[in-house]
Amino acid sequence: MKRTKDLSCRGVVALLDDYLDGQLTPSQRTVVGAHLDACTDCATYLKRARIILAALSSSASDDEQIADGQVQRLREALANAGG
Amino acid sequence: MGSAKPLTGVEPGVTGHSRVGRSEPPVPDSDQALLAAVAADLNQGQGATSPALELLVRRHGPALRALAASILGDAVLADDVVQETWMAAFRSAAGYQGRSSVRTWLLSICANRARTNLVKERRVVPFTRAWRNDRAEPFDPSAFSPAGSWVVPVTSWDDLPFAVVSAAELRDELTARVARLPLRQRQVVVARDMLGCTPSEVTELYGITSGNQRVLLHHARATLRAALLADAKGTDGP
Repeated sequence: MKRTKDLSCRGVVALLDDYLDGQLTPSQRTVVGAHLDACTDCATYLKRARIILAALSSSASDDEQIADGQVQRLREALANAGG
Repeated sequence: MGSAKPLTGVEPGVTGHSRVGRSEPPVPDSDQALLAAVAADLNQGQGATSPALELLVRRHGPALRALAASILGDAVLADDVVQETWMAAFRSAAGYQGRSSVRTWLLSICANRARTNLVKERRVVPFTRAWRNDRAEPFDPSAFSPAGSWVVPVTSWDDLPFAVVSAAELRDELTARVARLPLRQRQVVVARDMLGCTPSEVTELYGITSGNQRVLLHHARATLRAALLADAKGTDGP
């Protein structure tokens, strides 16, 4: 069992998203950080969470095809409306 | 279209212009200036050929599409809503006052239109009902012993036999998983983690409290993490 300052692995996972979003208090962040330094399971879970966030962040970006379609559709609508 | 009023101020950090063609006047780069240019072009009956319109749409169109799709769960409806969003935005461009960024303003118009579409289609899920379906904790408590430690060691994805091997595959898998999330979770995770909206922008977009959006986000993320591990292992993950 890995516990750091009364914070269990379950406790760390419960705080993980706030940790990722910078929403923990300084003392909470210290305690979570210390646990992550000592617990390979939680450190791996954090790494996995970060990989997912990075992938999500890059997934809704510049889709040329979507933009092409929107531009074309708008131009047609505006041309038909005389705008 | 009404006459365009010149907008004062340029978004901080954005300078310069884009030159579309050698004989054409430079097109502004900032969103505010682009919006004003589109309004001016529309007022002169040149909206269909407006280079500023194309720049603005290319810059924000995919994000609007992702937001609309997250609300509607339907790509075709999302495209229609985005078209309505752009038309509404250009019609009201002269009234844009810069209280929020152009991007946030566009996302707000889009979210409102998408929700109106949901109501029209009678596809609204009462918020309280959706809320009650979420567990108190976003993760599966059975993944932990009574003492709070992991029951099964957490394995790095690199060590799993069926782990996703490329970033593109992971993105595609996540996109599919996000589409299957409950509506409220999907809306929040798309806005926060895919579109980079701040918590306050999301609460404003969806008319929810900061606490609500936080819990929805955490549930969504936990579901995605668990689903990906289950896919990789071929079993149910924590």
